[in-house]
Amino acid sequence: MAKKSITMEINETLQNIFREVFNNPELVIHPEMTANDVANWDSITHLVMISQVEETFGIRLKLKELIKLKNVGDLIQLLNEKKSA
Amino acid sequence: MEHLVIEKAKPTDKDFLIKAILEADKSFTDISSYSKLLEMSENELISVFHEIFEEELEGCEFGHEGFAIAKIDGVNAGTCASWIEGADGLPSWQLRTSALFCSVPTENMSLLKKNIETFSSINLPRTPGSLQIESVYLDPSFRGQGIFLELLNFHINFTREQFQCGCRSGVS
Repeated sequence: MAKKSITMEINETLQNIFREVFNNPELVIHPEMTANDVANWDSITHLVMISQVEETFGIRLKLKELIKLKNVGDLIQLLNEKKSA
Repeated sequence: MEHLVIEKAKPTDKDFLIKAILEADKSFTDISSYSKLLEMSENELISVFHEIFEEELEGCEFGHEGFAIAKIDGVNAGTCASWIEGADGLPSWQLRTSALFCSVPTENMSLLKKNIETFSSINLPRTPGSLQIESVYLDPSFRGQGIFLELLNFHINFTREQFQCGCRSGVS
């Protein structure tokens, strides 16, 4: 079986985080997705989601990075960059 | 009124702007909701806001870019912030929340769940594309002189000019 690409792994892991944090086991993430598209994505769940991402991926997100994230695609790209660095 | 000047705030004004954020947030009480929420002293919060202001955030009140200051004979008399909600693609609550997440010590952030009601109250529903006015503060010695109205007119005119010249987009 072909080895999963880093991007696929990130997508899968991130989707699991989103499903858990936003309490929706059917949630499917996509690059254009924003807070407007997800029920329960508010200030509290946003905080929980960021800290889950940091913990799961073993990274620290800086404010200058967070404020550039306009959608889920931007987050996936940032995680890709951090995991590839 | 003596010589009143209203101008956009500069990075060097951050002490006064941070004071405005905290004083406005107190809403005539002794303690700001940020203090209650994060169980931090005012001095600790001031340090947090100094760190946040280093990032020069736009699109919420956590950066000097959105503020205008009223000065009377060179003395800071009052200030308030404005921005167009979501103009750069992110709602202000997301900017505010991210800023706190990155600048507040982890142990204080973990108090959020306990203080969830207070946290919800500082993130009001805001209509995308609309002009927001936030963190209105007038020094007590300059109140009752119509300075806020001057600040408000400044923000409205500045925003109108920005859109007319095509410098900004995203307003409804």
